[in-house]
Amino acid sequence: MNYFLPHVKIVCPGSTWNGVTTNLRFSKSNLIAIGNSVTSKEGDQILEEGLMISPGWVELRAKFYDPGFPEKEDLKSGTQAAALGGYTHVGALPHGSPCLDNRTGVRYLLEKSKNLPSKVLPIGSLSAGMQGKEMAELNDLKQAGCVAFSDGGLPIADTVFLKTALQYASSTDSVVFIRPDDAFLSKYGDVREGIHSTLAGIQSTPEFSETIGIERIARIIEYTNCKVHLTSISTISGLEVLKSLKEKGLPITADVSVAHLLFNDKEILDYDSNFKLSPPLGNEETQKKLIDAVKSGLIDVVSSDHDPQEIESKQCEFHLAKPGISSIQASFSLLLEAIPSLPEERIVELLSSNPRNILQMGSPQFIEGEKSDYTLFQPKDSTFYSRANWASNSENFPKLGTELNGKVIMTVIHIT
Amino acid sequence: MAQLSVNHLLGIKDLTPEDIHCILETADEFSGVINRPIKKVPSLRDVTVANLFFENSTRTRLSFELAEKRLSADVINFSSSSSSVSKGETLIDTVNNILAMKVDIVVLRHPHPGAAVFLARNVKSIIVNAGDGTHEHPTQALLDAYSIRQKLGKVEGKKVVIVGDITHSRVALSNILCLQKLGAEVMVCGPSTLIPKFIGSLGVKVETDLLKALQWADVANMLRVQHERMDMKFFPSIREYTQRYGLTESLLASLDKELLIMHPGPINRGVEISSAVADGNHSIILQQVENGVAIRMAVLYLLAGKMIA
Repeated sequence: MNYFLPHVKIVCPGSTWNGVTTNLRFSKSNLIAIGNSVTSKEGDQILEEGLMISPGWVELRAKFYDPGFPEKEDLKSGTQAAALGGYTHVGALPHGSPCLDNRTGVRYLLEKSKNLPSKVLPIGSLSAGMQGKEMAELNDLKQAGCVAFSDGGLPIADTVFLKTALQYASSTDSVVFIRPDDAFLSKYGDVREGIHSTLAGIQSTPEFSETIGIERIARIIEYTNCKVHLTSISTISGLEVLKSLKEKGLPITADVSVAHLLFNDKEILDYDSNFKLSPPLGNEETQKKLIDAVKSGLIDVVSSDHDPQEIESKQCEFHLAKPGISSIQASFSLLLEAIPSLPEERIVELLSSNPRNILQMGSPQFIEGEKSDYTLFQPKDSTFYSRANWASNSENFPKLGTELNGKVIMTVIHIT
Repeated sequence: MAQLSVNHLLGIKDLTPEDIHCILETADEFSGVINRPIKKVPSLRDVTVANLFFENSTRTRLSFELAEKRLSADVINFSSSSSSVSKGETLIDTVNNILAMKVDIVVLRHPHPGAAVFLARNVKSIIVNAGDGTHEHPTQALLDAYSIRQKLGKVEGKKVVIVGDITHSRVALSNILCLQKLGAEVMVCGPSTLIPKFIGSLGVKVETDLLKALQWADVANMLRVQHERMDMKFFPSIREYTQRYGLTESLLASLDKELLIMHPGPINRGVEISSAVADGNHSIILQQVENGVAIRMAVLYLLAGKMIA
């Protein structure tokens, strides 16, 4: 079936079509025609006027726990949720069991994710077994199809290993995703230190744990010149250090987790484990500063930080609950709930252009005949998120059962 | 009958000053009851209370059990030093199994902060928090306030210093909130490693010098060091801790005033408090224990009253 989009607004920063409202016809695999003179053909499904279309959105990092824990998420449910969330591509963190630290694992991931609703981009583990001690076979993983390396949300304690791994990774022209944290300071904390952790009596991690993490990585980047993407910046001091590093011209990018834009640590006063996140939520002031950083461009990417957890991992005492939020399906809505006035061009930079640049992916140019990936969305509309339309295997999403800003209409992916 | 604004006792933070006054005044009545020859009243007849203690406790568990029996409740006890999860069963399942035996009120002691709040949200029973990790111990704070009121006539306007391990204490937070709601001024004193960084935001004074703290205070509530909740050393040695924060007769004698000495127990004699001070004229440690029964009777009576209503 072909689709006809009357008066669709193209949001594609850097393209000559950016900001143009026109007509468009496409199939499920390519863009057939574009321009004001384009009309629908018999049999076309005609979509509503006034939608927006952009290059397909790219989630840099999500946990699918496949292989290993399909009760949390498998590739099928995860990519279904991603596609409903507008993502045509998802970077799959190596958090399966076994973790993604060898070529066989990459082959499994790529084979199993063929023909799924969203394209899976394997992210290999930086260290063997994600132990933070010895390097995984980075070049072999890259040859097998890994687009980046990361030990996910696990802070790397061993500075010698980190230096060596980044030095080696830079020789393979790879980008490394790192969660900046001090492994010792963050070891015992379930929440961020502050007045609310004091009131809730929950063990906490001081903000400077992240600052130390960023500063340590910065020195290693200066030494190795490795491209590093910092994940889930969550503190004001972290933002300040990031700003100074970018001003110095280091090859560094950074994202925030979308939940950190919408929620703050007041939520922990009810001990709702859906708000137990890693890194933990900051206070209200931090939340505002993170939003400012997203608006200003200091932050390059907004990530869903999708971390699905089955009910048994969440319906328990706060300390025992696993951190994480199942959010890839609703990430766009959470972003618009946090920043309702965010311009569409900035939305697309955060969700598509910048992640594509970080992964050195190409981007659709809206040329007739182009076989590429697109996301069709409407910021002015809303979506009701219910169990009935929830694709993830896990329901650790605190806004389930509510109507939120923004609507993803559909994704178009080019299947090779 | 006066009513509480809450259906559970999960923490002092949920109580209004009126709630606290209501509990203290009800405890006055029960204090009379437990000091008469026949110490029992039929108020909770046909009400079943389960004391679920997932953490070691002697004083609090016995105090609750006695309060329940003085009110003529049917009582069952469950004690486990390990959490239910380590045995493969969730807290909700454990409690629901007990509630299936037609239990009306659950008194919960648990090592994890927020466990009582979590339970109240997920099971159909009245929940009384008997201490949840490093969060709250509301009945201890109520009995402490009651004891101050009993000894000094009122709590309002009094200066209370809480000395010791504030970070790992559930008594400290409940006491701070309760005393503030009753109009007292509160200070915390101890090594800075055992005082939460942001506690000043609660409106309490922070002092690391014990002598200065005692000079300021009308009441000193001495806390023990909670070694069982520490995963590292927060001060060099017990000896050095005692040198800086141990309350001794000579220290008391150096003050030109009388000071009311309290301790929630168990006391570590010779560490945070010397035997002479613990057993001395200024100490009301055993009155606190006695008042604990009256306070817990009041709490159970008022919450059960809401159930019946």
